[in-house]
Amino acid sequence: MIPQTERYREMVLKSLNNERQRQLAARVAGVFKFLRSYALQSYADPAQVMRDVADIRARSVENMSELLERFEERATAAGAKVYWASNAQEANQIITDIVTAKGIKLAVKGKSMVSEETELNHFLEKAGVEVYEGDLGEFIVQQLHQPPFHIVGPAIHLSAEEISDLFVNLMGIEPTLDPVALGRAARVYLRDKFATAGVGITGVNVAVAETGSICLVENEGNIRLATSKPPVHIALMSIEKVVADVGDALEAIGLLTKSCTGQKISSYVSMITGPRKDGESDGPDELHIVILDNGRTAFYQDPELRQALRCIRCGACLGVCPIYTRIGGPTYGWIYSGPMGAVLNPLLLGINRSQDLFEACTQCGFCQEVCPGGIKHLDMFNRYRQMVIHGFPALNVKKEPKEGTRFMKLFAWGMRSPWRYRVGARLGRAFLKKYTQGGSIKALPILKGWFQYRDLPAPAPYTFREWWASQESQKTRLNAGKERSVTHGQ
Amino acid sequence: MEGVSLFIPCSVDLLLADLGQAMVKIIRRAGGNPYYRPEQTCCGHPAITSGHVDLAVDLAKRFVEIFEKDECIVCPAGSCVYTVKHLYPRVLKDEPAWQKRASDVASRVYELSEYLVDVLGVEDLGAQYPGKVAYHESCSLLRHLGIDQQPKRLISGVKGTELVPLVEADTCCGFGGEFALKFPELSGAIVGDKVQNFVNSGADILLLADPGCLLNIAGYIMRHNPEKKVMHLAQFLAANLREVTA
Repeated sequence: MIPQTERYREMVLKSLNNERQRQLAARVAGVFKFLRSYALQSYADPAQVMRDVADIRARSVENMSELLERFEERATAAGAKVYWASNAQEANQIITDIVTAKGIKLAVKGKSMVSEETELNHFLEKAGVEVYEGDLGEFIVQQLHQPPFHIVGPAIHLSAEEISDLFVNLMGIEPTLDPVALGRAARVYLRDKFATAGVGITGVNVAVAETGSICLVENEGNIRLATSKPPVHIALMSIEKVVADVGDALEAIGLLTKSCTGQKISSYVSMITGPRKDGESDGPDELHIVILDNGRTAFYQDPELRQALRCIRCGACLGVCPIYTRIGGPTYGWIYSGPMGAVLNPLLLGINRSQDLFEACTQCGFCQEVCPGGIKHLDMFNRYRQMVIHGFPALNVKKEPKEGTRFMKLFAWGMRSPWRYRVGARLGRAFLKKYTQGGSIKALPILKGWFQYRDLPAPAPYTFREWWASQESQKTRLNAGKERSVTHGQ
Repeated sequence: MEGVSLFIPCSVDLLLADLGQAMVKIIRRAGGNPYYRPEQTCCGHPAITSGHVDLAVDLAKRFVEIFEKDECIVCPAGSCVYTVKHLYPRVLKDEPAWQKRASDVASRVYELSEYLVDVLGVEDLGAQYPGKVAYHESCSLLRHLGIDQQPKRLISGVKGTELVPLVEADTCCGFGGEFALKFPELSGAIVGDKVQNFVNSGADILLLADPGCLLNIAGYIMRHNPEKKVMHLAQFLAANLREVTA
């Protein structure tokens, strides 16, 4: 998916005007939000688990380089081959080289965000390899050449009619709106691909340093099949996926599936340690693990920014975000959407070109409340804003004049002195009163955005401090002659 | 009587004096003795959240100097309390001595409903209102400060008032300060949904506890649903206090 985060503003308007997409985004998000809160109740103490997993993620990110080295060592000892890719191009090249060297013409894939990040499918197809997504939703949007609508439900925006039309064309089935029949048709169609593919390509949910294992969660069995049927399995993971041991991995996975689809655990959890060994019946002959940086170590140097790597891609933040629930995923202009995208895209694509993503935030804080990684989204967004205002050469962030900076300087200057504050208050209130009609202000020559959808309640006839001073002097008059009243705070 | 220093947000001072008056009235009714330091201006929230953190350093220090001697500081705005408690440590991160002073002051700053319920132990102020109200959970209270029960207890303390459920009560109203100006379409869509949920709730009045949400929702209602009413909890309580006969 070609990044187009610059077009966010324009796409927001389009999405808001698309009534169907808007309702769908809200409904899908609402369902995931409900499922998550319900699933969390299966813990005796959900808040404690949230803290534990946030701690696991924090520790894993802090010790990342050490953990990755250990992972490489153990995975290699288990028979896997480990590769390091510094960017998307390198990762794609490594994978394509493995595939083409073996003369493989057909690949099946498990749903993987990071392979969307590197645009791997496109790369493989250019090298003459046919690629089939194995996850049903991902398969549907792939065939329609559309970006995934939601990180967990890629094709959730499509109607049964649209899917039926696609399958009629692709598979020659009779038109049907029966979801079970459509699912079965896809299964039959894909089963043949799984059976004949030379390679299965997946992502990685968690990598375990202690054992050199990779863990994958899914519901459809397509990943299980892609990692066991074809003779070669290639797993692509970004550097932050590694944790110390199996205990950390399982606790994180437990919270991942609850936060993601609201399942206590997904239908399948695969833990893969090396390729098939002698005497084992399942598994590929070869396991290749490609570890991708793609800009992550650059921002890792900054102790605050590195918390972005705690994200486990569960999507809990999407379902609770007041912005995401109005506009849906594709509006964000890249594979990572919602608050997740507003944290990751600026760091992976560039702060300047992605600034509308983090500017479009009401700072409600719902995302950070549900985040299993313990990411402080609002601190991150605030930091990005500061980076744009002042520039940040370490990450090539250009200083950009920000609308409102001049006003903010004047505002802060005024607020630093009670005298200036009072003068400003008098002028400002006189200005507002000029535009007040019958209890409200309908429009002003400034603040146009506000008045597009709202009025402004008329300012009270006096300021609080004026009222306070008058009632205090009244009190003093009342008390004159009596005992001297006790006054506080002066 | 308990002396309590009034931390009046600039929005309340400049636009919503009646909210400040209401606050004074109910604190007095609850047995507190409010006083006001007129040298206060703005806590710096808009500067900080828009990324102009450097511009807020002096404002944070001013706040500390003005309120440092007070035992108890009360504010009718969750967002301003959040600023002092959670944003000042960020603003003053390069000056540990100031950071320490700020966190000392912050430990004595209370949001109004928190002050009434947790500090004074008052839930029934002697108010009466025969009707239905709904409560919007302002993000600044619910998520930034963890205050959810106190406002509801104060509402339950009002004789004759029924608190009706509000769908999506815990989601944002779409204000977000600068956000409302920069992304008016998004902000408008969000506040529109909030008001629709309020209308569907069947309540006569929507109560909340932050002036930001108040200006946003009241502004929307004035244009689109003028028959409905939104009030800060303090305004509601003060307007419905029964006369004390003593």
